[in-house]
Amino acid sequence: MIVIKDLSFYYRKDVNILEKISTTLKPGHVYGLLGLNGTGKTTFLKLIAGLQFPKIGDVTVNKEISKERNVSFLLDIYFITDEVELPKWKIKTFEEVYGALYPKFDSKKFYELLTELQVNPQENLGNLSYGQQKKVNIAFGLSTNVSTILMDEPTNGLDIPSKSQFRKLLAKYTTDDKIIVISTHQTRDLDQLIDQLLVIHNRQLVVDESIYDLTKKIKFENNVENLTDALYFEKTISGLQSITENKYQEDSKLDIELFFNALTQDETFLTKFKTLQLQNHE
Amino acid sequence: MNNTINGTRLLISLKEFWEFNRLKLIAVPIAVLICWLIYFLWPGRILNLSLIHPELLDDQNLPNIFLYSNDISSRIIILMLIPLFIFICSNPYLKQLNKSVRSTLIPISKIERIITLYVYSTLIILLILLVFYLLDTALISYVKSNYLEKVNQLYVASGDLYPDHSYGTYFVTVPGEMYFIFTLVTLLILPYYHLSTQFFKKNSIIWSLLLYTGIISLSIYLLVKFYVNSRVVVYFNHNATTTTLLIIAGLIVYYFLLSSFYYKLKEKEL
Repeated sequence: MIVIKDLSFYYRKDVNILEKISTTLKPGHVYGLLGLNGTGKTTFLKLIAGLQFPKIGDVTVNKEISKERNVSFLLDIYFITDEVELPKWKIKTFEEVYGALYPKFDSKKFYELLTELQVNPQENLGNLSYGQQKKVNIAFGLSTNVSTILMDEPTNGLDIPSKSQFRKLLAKYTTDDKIIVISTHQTRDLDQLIDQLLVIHNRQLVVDESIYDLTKKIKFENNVENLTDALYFEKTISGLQSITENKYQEDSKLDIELFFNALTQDETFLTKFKTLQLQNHE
Repeated sequence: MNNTINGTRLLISLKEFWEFNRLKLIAVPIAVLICWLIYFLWPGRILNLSLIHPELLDDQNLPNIFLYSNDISSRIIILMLIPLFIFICSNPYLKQLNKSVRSTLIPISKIERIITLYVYSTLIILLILLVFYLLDTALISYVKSNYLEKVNQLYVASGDLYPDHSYGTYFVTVPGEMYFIFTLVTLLILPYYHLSTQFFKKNSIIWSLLLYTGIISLSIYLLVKFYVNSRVVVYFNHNATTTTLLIIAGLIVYYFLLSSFYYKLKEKEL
């Protein structure tokens, strides 16, 4: 479990990146972390991983204080960064050296994942493209069987078949004892996987809800004609898309992109959304 | 789970360093050999004369070569390969500890990292010293077996019946103290260098040398000003006491340098 309490962070004292964020991320969920460029998504992941230290507040992962980066903490967390920083070794050497560090590392699974992602295990990492290296890192991360996996733009650089393969692999990996946090801009790549949404906007964690709860509160509609009840709407090539209050608990598929646009482009939407949240609580 | 030192993890850390530097470490003895050959194949030196210009090694030239003008004590400059190899092997390793998210999150403790750095630095020192020693011994044996008798005869002919071949001639190997001094100085500079890589991202080697020179100069200045020249001398009855105190002070400084390096690594934010 990841517990974040009153987390504030800044690089310069007068410019806060994150402000008083509190949340609990529970095992068995895939969290989608969204936010505009420069809003602090990567910083948020780094704070969880203990790579940055909170200026105020605490971050603990499975009761371990992140910033202490104790080995027992590091053994149970893996961070797949956007930049690939793998050594220029043979894949086998890479697996032998680093795999041995993780108690639950599954070597067989690593090679199976590589095959599924169409990476030749005989290759040297130095000869692989950015996308291929990223696949090796993803395969390695998933094979460690750690309880917390953080991913920063994992589908960047992956080709189209690999993206769908990645979704399948991640779905297989998700179990009740694991937390996966994915920071991404490419919501369409992952909207089937994410079951919890975290949105950072204006230094705050403005959304921290399950997809299920969200769709109970708001309804997403395409090609609508009547916009009087719309909390937010957008004109697209395929017609008008809108978000309305889900008064009658109707089923609709969450359009993460539309929801995110509403949050970031319409200042009134967040207030309306929060009012809905309060009403639901009552 | 032991968060500081664990045998398996330490072995993995050593293996990781080996994989990063395999070729460089294999190149160590080759580099010593090449430098050795360059030094002794230099015009006027023994291998050049013996292998390329044997005609110059006649009775007329032997005194010049072996007695008067051929000081080869400068061959210890080859031992400068020690800091050079330690630098080229450790620098990328230290850089990735400094910058890489992946490296920082690898479950290897910082103490294990530091031990790895020292194990390999010591290994490089020993390897270079060993190869140097073997080459030195082999060359001196070769020269002795081929030329010692002749040179001794020349000594006798010039009136010196009991020639004493000193360090710097072709008949005496590099004394053991030299190996000790090189090892000691390298190990003394090492923590300054490690620490400098954490403080100064660029030119860390230059900064570490400056830092080291600065501290040594300051120590000597303070020693001369307050100890040697002072009228109110802190009096030590026995020289051994002074030596022991200096060693203890040195060890304390060394400990603080190592601790600073450890905490810089541990508290690094990326």
